[in-house]
This record gives sequence, C-alpha cells and structure tokens, in this order.
Amino acid sequence: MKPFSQITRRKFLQLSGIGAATLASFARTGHAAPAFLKKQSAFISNKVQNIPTVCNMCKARCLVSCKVVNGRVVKIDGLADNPYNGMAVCARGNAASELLYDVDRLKYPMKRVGERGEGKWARISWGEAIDTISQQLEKALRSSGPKALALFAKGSSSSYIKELFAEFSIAQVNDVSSEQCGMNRELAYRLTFGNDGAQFPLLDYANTSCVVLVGSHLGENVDVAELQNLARARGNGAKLIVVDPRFSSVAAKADNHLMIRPGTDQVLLMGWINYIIDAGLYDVGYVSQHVTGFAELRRDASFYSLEKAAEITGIPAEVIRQTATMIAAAAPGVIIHPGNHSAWYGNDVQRLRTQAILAGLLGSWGSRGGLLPRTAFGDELPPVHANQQAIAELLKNRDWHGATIIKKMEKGAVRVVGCWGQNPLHSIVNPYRTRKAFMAADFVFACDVLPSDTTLFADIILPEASFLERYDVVDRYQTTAQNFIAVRTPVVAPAYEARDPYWIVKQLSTRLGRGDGFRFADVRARLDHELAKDDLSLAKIAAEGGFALLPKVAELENNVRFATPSGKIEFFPKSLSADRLTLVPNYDEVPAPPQGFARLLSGRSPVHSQTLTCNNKWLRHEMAENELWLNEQLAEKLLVKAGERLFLENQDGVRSMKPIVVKLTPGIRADCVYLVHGFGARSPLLQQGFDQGVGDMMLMTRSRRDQFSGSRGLRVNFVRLIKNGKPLDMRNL
Amino acid sequence: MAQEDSIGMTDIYRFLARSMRYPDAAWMDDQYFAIISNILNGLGWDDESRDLADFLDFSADWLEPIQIEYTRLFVNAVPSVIAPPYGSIYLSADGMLYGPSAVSVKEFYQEKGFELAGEGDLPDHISSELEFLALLAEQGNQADEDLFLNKHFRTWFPKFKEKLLGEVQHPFYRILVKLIDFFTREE
Repeated sequence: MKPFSQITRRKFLQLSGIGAATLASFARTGHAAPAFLKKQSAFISNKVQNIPTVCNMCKARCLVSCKVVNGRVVKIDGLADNPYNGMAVCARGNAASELLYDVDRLKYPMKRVGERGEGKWARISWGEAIDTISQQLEKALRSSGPKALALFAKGSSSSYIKELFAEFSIAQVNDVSSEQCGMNRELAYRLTFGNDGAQFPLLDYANTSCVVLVGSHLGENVDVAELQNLARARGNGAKLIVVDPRFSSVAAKADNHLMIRPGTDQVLLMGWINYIIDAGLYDVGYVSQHVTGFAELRRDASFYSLEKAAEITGIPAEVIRQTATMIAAAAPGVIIHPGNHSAWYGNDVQRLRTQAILAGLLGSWGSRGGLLPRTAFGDELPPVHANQQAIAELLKNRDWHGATIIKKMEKGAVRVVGCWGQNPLHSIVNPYRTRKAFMAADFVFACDVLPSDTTLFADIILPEASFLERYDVVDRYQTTAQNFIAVRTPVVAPAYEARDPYWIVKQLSTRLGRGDGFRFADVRARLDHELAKDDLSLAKIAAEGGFALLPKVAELENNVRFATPSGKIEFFPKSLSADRLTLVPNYDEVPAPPQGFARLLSGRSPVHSQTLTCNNKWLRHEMAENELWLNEQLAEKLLVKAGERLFLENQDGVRSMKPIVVKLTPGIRADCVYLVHGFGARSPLLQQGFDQGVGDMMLMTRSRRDQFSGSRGLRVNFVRLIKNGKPLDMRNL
Repeated sequence: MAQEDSIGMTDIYRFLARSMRYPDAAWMDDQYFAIISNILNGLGWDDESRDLADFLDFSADWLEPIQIEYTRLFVNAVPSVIAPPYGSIYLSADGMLYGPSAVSVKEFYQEKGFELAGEGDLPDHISSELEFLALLAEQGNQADEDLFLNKHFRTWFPKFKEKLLGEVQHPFYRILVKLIDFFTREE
C-alpha cells in the first residue's frame, strides 16, 4: 500500500525534510549559464528588421532580404534595387525559412555509438567532436600521409575545410559540382579559347539575337537572374532554339525545339557547322583573323552532311538547315549556351569543344550579343602557360574524382573521409558501391545542416549553421551590366549548437597546428581582411544595403585575347599530342539502349535543388515526389495508364526501391524516360523526404568515362518498366 | 510560497529544467540521483524508486545509456526522433518548429521582462519553459505561473508526454516525464 499514492503537489511541497536543502543547493548553484536574462523593462519586441543576405538554396547566389520579426524569420524576398535578381526570388528562396526551422536539422555534435549506418548516436560537446576528428586526421597523416585522406565537399560553406585540406596537400578532394558541371566545360573552352575560357563566360542576353540551348533546361533549372535575362531577350525578339529529347518548359517557349536522339548532340553541332561553312554563312573576317585549324575543321565536318546528321540525330535535315540558317543570320550576336551539368554520355568534352568551335565560327566569342569572356588578368603565370598547365592538370589529375576516391576507399588506401555539404550517395555513380566504401573506412566525419543519407555513415556529425545563420565567403558578381560584391550574412543567430563553417574549421586548424587563413579570431575578421582589398568591410556593405558596386574591370566587348599557344582560337589544338585528342572533335558514338530498355535521363525541378530540399515542407507541398515521363504512344502499346505506379529496373537488374508515378506525354522520345533528380532519400532522419519518389542515382550502376576529362557520364543507364513484378515487353516497339 | 524548510516550486522547476538538458556528468551525479530518489520516496512512487535503483545499480556505465536515450528521444534518431522537446511541434498544424505558439511564448517572456540568454535558443524548449516557471515562482507570482502553465506549458506537454511514454526505453526519462507532469498539473 502506498501511503502517498494520492499525494498532491501542494501536499508534497508542505512536507519538509525530504532533501529540501539538497534540492535547493542543487537548483541554486549554477550548473550552466542562466537560461534567461532580466531586462530593464518589460516589453514585447515588435522590432521588424529587413536584413539583406545572399541566398544559398541553390548556387545562383540571389540577393535577398529577410524580414525578421522579434527574432524569427517570417519572409524572404528579393533585395530591392539590386542589379542581379532584383525583387524576384524563386520558390526555393521563399521557402528557406522552412530549412531554418526544420525539426530534422542537425542540432548538436554527435558521435556514433552503434554500428556504422545504424543511426545510433550520443550527443557530444564541440570540444570532444573537434578533438576526435583532429586526432583521426593527424593519425592518418602521420601513419600514411595525405594520400590516406579524402573529402567530399560542396558549396561555399565548404571552402574553409577545402582550404585546410589543401594545407596538408590532400589531393583527394571531390566537389561534385566541378566534376559533373564545370570541369568538362572548362577543359573544352580552355582548349579552344585559352585562359579566358577557364571561367564561364558572361552571356550577353541584353544584346543577343539568338539563344541556343543544347540540353539545358533553364526554367526547370532555375537561375532567377538568367531567366529574367532570357525572358527580356525573347521580349526583344531574340530567337530561341532548344535541343532536348524532352519537351522541357523552355522548349515550350522556343522557336524551334529539336527533339534529338539522346547522346547525339555533337553530331547536330557538326551538322550545323558543316552547313554553315558550306553555305558560306560563317564570319569569314573573324575566322581569318582569330582562328587556327579552320581547314581541318572544314575537312572533318564535311562528313556530317545534313542527311548524315539527320540520320544520326533523328532531326529532319530541313530542320537542321533551317536552324543553322537562323543561327548564322543572328551572328555574331548568338549565345551558344555553354551549359551547366555536363557529365552526360562520356563524350562530353568533345561535345563541348564542338559548341565552343561553333561559337568561334560565328564570331560570337567576345562579340556584342554573344559570349563575353571574363577577363582573368592578374594571373601569376603568363596566361598561355597558366592555360597549358591547367589543361595538363585537367587531362591527367584524377585524384579528386568521386569514383577514384571510392575505389581507393574500397582498397583501403583512403581510410579517413570527410563529407561537407555533399551527399556522395546521390552524386556518385553506383551508390551500392559508395555505401560499401563508406562502411570500409576507418573514420568518417560529416558536417551538414540536414541529416543527409551520407551523414548516416559518419562516426562524428557536426551541425552546420544554415545559410540564414552564418557568414560564408566574399561573393563577387560580374554581370554584363554591373560588378558588385555581397556577403552572406546571418539574419538570426545559429540555433541549438550549430556553428558557422569558419569557426568549425578554425577549431580543427588550431588542434592540427596548420592553416594560416584561420589566424583571424572569427569569420567577420577574416572577411573584413578579404574585403579590405576592395576598400570595403562588412560594415560598409551593410551600410550600403547588402551589396557594394564595383567599377567595371574593362570593356567586355571586342576585348578578346586568346591565351593559347597559337594566340588564336584553336579549332585544332596542335599543342596536344595527337594520340590523346582527336584534334577536330570527332563524334564518339554513344551505345543505343539494349533491346527492351529506355535510356534513363534525369534533370531538375524549379522547386527543388538536388537532394538539398527534399525535406522542405513548403517545397514538398509544391512537389512531393518525382514522376516518370513516358512517351504516350509507347505507353499505349504497353497498356500503361497515366498515374499508374510502376517499378523501374535497370540493365543490371537493380530495381527502384518503390514504384514511380507515370506521366504520359508526347513530350518525350520513346527511347528514353525522364525523372527529376534529388528524390528517394534513404535517410530516415529526413522525416519529410525519406523514401519519397525514386532516386535516379539508385538506378545508375554504370557510367562512361570521358577519355579526356575522366568525368563519368551517367546517361548510359537504361531502365525497363515493371508491372505486377514482371517487366513490360518493350522489345521491337 | 514558503521557501524555508519545505520544498519550493522554484527549486523544483529549476531541478526539472536542468533534468531536461543534455545529461552530463558535471551535474548528473550521486547528489542528483539522491534528490530524485528522495522526491520519489516522498511521493511514494515505489515502482519508479525501484526502477531508478535498478539502473543505477546494474549499470557501471550508467551515463552513456542515458545520453543515447536523450539523443534518440529528443535530438536525432533512426527511424525518427521520438519527442522533440519544443512546444510548437505539438501545437502547429504541420508540426513545425518556431510556429506561432513559440512566438507567443517568447512574447510572454518579454512581457514579464525576460529574454532568453542564448540568442539562438528556441523559446519553447521544455527546459526553457520550466526555467521560466521557476522565475515566476521565485517572484511569488502565482497568477502568472498559473497563466503560463495553462496558456502555454500544459497545452502541449501532455502530447509530448504521451509520445514519449509510448516509446521510451530508458526508465530515467519515464520517471522524469511523470515527475514533470505531476509538478505542472493543475490540482
């Protein structure tokens, strides 16, 4: 019988002598900093602040203004009067506050206490987390040197950890956006235009007469400023040609949509080039003044007659002729868009070289309405040497490639691995292999805002401040109209124990005794140091309303210099050994889908950024899962109905984790299917995004290596549809 | 409220607030468990007393299991965190953090002349709300204490408690949540 089982609170309190003194002394001694501060006067703070910062929901870096009421972010708009995106912001920018207040955020440093991948953790202090990581880094460095370490790191917040790893000469640092987007283009444009080809050129939408998008689905891949520019160009009467096997949203706005056979883009480009040369439509003056290798191009392109190109690409000869004429008529004010994501078919450098050559043939490199190189003066090396060195590096160095690192992890050569804002399980081909490689590592640490699939494999997890809570790096912007500087700035203090990336890396740097860049007390001091070069400071930028205008570097138009060995645009770069590179880019044929399979294509949604937004409630409201684009005539033969859910199975027998909703459309070729990347998260810690839709990478067990850049083309995977457990017969359709 | 020789709510709230912070050897020590044990004995909660004694006796390393359980219940867990200790999760339609209820908790603090010390703290963390109740009790402000309990704390705590009791594995948090319930319940 319990004497006090019905005791009340009051009664309990009246009982004396049950440890009252101990309780009081426990409660009254400060075991921790007080949770509350007493204010001078009582009031509800209605303070409304509008704080400018740089959006990080994708890599476009829009300038935004965050409305903060009483310490809570309530709305995000474009920053008024800025010369970039203006007042406009996309759905993802609008929804950034949902990232800030996402219940699944990583909140405290944690250590793994269960098996790797099991998801059993204990919260630890920052001190313990930093000590553990630095001990592991040091141990690996001492015993095996820098070759035993690797880093997967993406986004501006990873720049500090990359800096620290560079101090230790760790070469295995993978950035998926370089590998799958920038690298192929850089190599192709450097080969053609020299050192100024290193950076993505400015696209002169304001003065262009024709825009050509080869495979780019701008509009689904949203960059607000660029979309505004494209819309204005269309308003000014510029033509738009879109090459895509799928009727994308931008294809719907085009004068011509060329529904090309996947993988044959280069043939179309060569067909255009051949026709333009044959018909004498190229810029004779520009070519004779600025180009070498024209004769070789003419010779090799002649193979691609309209008929030949039509046969390979599936685009009618007349359409190729018509579009070639349209492009040439607009020259030199033509934007052959260099494109973003480029790791497609493993013949990507050659395709991009052909694009660059077409731009050269039309005289649009450095011309009004065309591609304006960002001047890269101030190189330490003479630009030609810098260019040749960079090309040699791009051709040879594979250390930083994702697949190379995974292979080294499998072999036990790389044993200590960091992941910073990157999710290798969704960005590197064959996630099954990636998973095994992570399981085999000695030590894995991850730093992120949300618990991505990859964080599940970490031994130590570090919670990074979200972009609304942190300073990052100095962001420099160059546009055709205006140059300016902005800095990502915290609009609220970091929640929980999340910390800004500079602070985190500074702790590691201190423990490891390296990293001169971390001598500054905090990120503000470091950024002020960097801004001083432009006679700016964080305070000045804030006082100027969130960005500071810079003088234009130089006149962009007609400011062409070709830092190639020949001093000219090289259609035929003789400086390279012929066995490595077919001098005029020859088409490397892409294998057709095996009988009964369709090629798996993937791309972007305007309301999601890869896997980064899969847990965002507002964006999930707009698009909760992806769907499979399937040609409607094919579907009719297969007796597949719109909205049906079917499993996918790839050429190696790997099935999707769950079925995907089918969208029937005439807007895709029958030899391919399409879905949006970024879905199918496997981390149950993401309560919103877990197991929603189908992850394309889960079906990508093969890749095709580009023979020059080594990047892995991913569109060489094929799927068939599975209904009631059985594959649908897609043979001979 | 009497503070001399009997137990005051100020100390109780503060004790409970501390108990809902992350377990740390700096404060979770013999003395701490002696207090819990005394309270349980005082209440005549024999089952809970036994549970407490059991896990302290049988586990040489008793701290880490509590830390793991805290992480699983309140921070991150596979397949999903059990009971996030923030009021707004239970009070907003879509289970969001820092929803309207958290804003009004923050305004309540400010109205009474208090501000959270940690800039990044969310206002409606269970520990902050309990700590605030201690401040109100310390001021002897029964009306405000009751108002805060009824208008804020008790609007979500029962849902939190239910979620936690449904899945809790470690007896410590089962005992603790029952104690919080007992000391914040209307009589």
